[in-house]
Amino acid sequence: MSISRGAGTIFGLSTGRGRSAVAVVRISGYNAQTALQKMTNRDDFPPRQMAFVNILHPLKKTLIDKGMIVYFPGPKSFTGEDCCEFHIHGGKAVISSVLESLATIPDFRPAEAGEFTRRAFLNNKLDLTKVEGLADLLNAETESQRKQALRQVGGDLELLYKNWRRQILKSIANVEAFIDFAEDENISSTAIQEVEEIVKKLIYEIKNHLSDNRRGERLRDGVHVAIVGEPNVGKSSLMNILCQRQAAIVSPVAGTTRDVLETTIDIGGYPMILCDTAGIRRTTDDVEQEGVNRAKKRAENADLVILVKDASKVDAPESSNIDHFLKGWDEDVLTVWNKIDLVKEKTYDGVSLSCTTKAGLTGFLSELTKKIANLCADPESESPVLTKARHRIELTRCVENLLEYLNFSKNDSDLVISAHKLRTAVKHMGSITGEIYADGILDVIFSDFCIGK
Amino acid sequence: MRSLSRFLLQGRFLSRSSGHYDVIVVGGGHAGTEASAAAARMGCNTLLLTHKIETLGEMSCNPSFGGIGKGHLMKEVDALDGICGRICDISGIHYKVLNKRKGPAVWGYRAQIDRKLYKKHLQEELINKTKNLDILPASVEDLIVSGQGEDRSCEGVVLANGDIIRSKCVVITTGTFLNGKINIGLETRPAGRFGDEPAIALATTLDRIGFKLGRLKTGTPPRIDGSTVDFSVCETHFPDNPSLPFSFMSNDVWIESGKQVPCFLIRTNPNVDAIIKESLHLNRHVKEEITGPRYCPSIESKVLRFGGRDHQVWLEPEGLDTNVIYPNGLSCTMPEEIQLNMLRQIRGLERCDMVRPGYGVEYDYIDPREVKPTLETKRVANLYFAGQINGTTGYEEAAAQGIIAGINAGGKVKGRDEFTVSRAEGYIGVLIDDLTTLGTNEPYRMFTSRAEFRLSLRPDNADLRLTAKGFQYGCVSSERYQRLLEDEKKLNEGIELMESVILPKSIWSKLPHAADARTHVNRSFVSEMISFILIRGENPHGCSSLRPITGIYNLAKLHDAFHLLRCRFQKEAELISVKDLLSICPNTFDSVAEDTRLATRIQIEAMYREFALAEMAEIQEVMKYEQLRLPEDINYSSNRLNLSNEEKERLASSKPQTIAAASRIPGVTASAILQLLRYVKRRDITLI
Repeated sequence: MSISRGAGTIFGLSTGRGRSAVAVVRISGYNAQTALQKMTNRDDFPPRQMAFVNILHPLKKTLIDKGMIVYFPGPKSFTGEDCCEFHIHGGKAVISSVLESLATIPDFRPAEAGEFTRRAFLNNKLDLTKVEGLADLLNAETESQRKQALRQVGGDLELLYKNWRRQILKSIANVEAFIDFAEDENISSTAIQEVEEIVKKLIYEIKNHLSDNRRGERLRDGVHVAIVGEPNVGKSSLMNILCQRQAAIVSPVAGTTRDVLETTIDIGGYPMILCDTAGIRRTTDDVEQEGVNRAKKRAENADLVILVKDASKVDAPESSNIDHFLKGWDEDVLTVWNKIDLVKEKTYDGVSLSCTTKAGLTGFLSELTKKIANLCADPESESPVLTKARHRIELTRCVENLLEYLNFSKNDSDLVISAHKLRTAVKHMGSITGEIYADGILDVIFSDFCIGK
Repeated sequence: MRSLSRFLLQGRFLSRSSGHYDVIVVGGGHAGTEASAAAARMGCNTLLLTHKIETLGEMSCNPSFGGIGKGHLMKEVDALDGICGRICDISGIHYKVLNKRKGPAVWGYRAQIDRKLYKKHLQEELINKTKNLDILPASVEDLIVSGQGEDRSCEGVVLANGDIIRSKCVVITTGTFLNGKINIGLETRPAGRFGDEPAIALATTLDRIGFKLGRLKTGTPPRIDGSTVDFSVCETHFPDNPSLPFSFMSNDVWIESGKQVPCFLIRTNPNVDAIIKESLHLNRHVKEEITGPRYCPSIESKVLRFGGRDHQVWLEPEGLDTNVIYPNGLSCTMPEEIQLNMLRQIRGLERCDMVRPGYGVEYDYIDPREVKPTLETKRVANLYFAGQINGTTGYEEAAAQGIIAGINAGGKVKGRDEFTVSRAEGYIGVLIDDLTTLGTNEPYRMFTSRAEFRLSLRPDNADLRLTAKGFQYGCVSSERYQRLLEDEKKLNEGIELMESVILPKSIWSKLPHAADARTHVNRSFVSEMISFILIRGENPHGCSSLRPITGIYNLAKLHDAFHLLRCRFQKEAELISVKDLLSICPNTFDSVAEDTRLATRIQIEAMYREFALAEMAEIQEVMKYEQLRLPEDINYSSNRLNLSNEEKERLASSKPQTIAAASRIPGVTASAILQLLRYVKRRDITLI
């Protein structure tokens, strides 16, 4: 926990991850108004009055969304600082592009856990009744959320980020050792050359990671649901039933769907982006293989996967491929047995239907609605996509600072300023991994260098 | 009664009944001298108690002051009108700023000091030049503590002869006296430093009060007779020319560079390693598992931890009129004859004589979480601890604490609020906050890497950061304050002047050797251009400056001269200095360029301006949290706070004084901080 990052203007999504028509992004800080100036076409923002505007990317000036804005000059605001709010469409794509846009404004950064509340406290903005409800507020804003965010990105990524952070720390230790001890002790400038190599490698890796991340996301409004399954289990038929129109070409030939088809529908009042994917199986056909790859990719980025299985082929041995792929996804998968009209004896467990006879459809729909409602209703959960957006902001800033480090050190300029860039880089990485304080630099120094006289 | 007045300097009369001071400082080392001088500057009737007048200002270990991080502390002590910087400017024999090539934010002002001169000048300063200060050679046997439990307060001291001297505050700066033990080889004997008697009763009293103690060890190298060293085979290092002074009040050091003495660099070799390893069974100090510093280890620990390398040893002269050499880097505790054998393995020292063996010291220190940021103890009011007793090492760390304790003791007598320096204001703040919030389990030494606002907390601007604050509180003389005002005015005017000269990049690039300069440019041409572009104008300070006619050039292609000062020549990568700019603006910058010190300050401001501004926003934020005080009676186990067991434990053991300090304790989470904030805010509301 550190409050030394406290300065600057912070932003964050103030509404939960509900399926809401409207999401509110809140901004607080001395130059909060800059966001309005840069992201709308207006220059006049009467206090506490809502205005309907085009919301633009601050640099590219492309349209992100149409929505409402409101400006609360301090001290008459939630935090007591200048605040403003963007009321935008509740879709993930919109929310994350607004967040990412805000991150491009100088001195803006994502709020840390509990930071809005902290600022409000400091400025005497929370009265006692509000204070009593603090525990709830904390849960929504703090540690648990960060941990959850990390869980969402997966154990591998967490390890990756922590490893990156360790490498930056090692670089800092080298530079700091060089600053504090080189002059009259045994630290050679190879320590600095080593840093250059580490930093270059880190920049390469993080940039690569960022561009992958981007490719993986095609964002639309709503909960992403991917229909996957082996070939010819009736995925496209299910999609057609859900869409109530012939969105996908249905044929009895296995492998008919080669690309990803997607459509937006409303299930039980929740917006859902449904996509039909190619059947997942081993194939030698290049085109089909590409479809399989896309299907997998799509499934990975979806909030929910509907796994369609053929009830008439329960014992089919070929199922291992897809089961292996979805292993461990548990909560995120809704398995449905199709073609129950072809089965005389029930040998399967769980939700089932027949796309041909529509038998079991109601039961399936209610299961699906429940799942989606769950996904949308949990206010504590931040969608993986938003998590990624926040992480991407921090990673991008981390890389920027690493690059600046290289620039500064290349020009043989002030080593203290270069070191400052590394210190800033590690803070950004640390706000993902939750290790904000750069503790232990001295430990690294003393274990790696013989210092003292 | 007679015994007291006989030794009193300045001829004041003191009797058992009338023996009453505002502030008593116990100990005449670097913490004690700064503390007593500071309390005296505050206008308090101050008594400094030391074993012997002759040891007042003794440099008990290395013959040098300053260094990286440590130099920062000295500049800050000086900015608060402390004495060590000024005394070093008249007692040094080899001045050198370390880290010259790494940026002014981490320049390490350092000097080899003549021990005798330092003592002499320091004693003159305290005895003859410091008002309100009495000095008495006496051992303190005990403290007078009144009250019980939470309400204890210190009211004076008892001397070894039974005399009682009362005071409103007492500052203890007794270094390693608590259960001090000296180790050489297998021998061990009780002592503080050589010749000082450990004060048993005082230790018992501190123990009885319940202060939490820890144990540390440190050491000092053998001394060598310089006349037996073959310097011709050593690497010679000369002092800076010109030499830069420590104090903002000094324009120069007392001795010109050519008359200063060099230092010499030599290296250990495998023979040294072998001797150390063979003699480990004879080395009690190394065997004992008491926490030693990770960074100032003895040569034994260097060899054991990083074997198979050679280690640097600096041969440092101890004075102008002595041959004694201090081999910095060879602190050791093996038996005397083995020390000599080890020394003689090193090239240059083959025939050397040892003047005194090195030895190790073990001592108790008080867990610095026992003291507040004012250095007053949490258990006993009006009692302050400063220096090595708080677990630090080094003269500068001691001096920094001494001055803060002295100022606060003085402030308390005068009924003032506390005087604290935050982490955002100075290295002194970093030092004291680290100690009082986190404690320490090794002798704490200052490094620049400990400071998070390193780009703002620079040696060059310590006066701008602290002098006015000190003056307002009363610990800075008006002479120094005037000096600050003058320097600040010159600095601001200089920057304004530099900023007012705005020229197109194409002209700046015609600086000889400048980044893009390809052709040699005729100076009269440049002057013509300037007169074309600029008109003369009066600035509000009365000095004429150049004003640009803008609009002729694209604004993006214009640079002011201040901006130029953070650019570098392409070839040598040297910064463009004010002097360099003279070739373009010969008359405009003359006044600045002539004043080297001013020109340097302006340049440093230019280099860091952008970053310092960014840090400033962060600093202001931190300061807000620094001002949120946690009440001393806060009960961390209270269910209302809803803290985890780990947090309860950590907070309860370090008793942070502010929200900011609490946030720096490892393991304290964001939600805990919010809970504490809530507690503080609610308390405020209830109090109103």
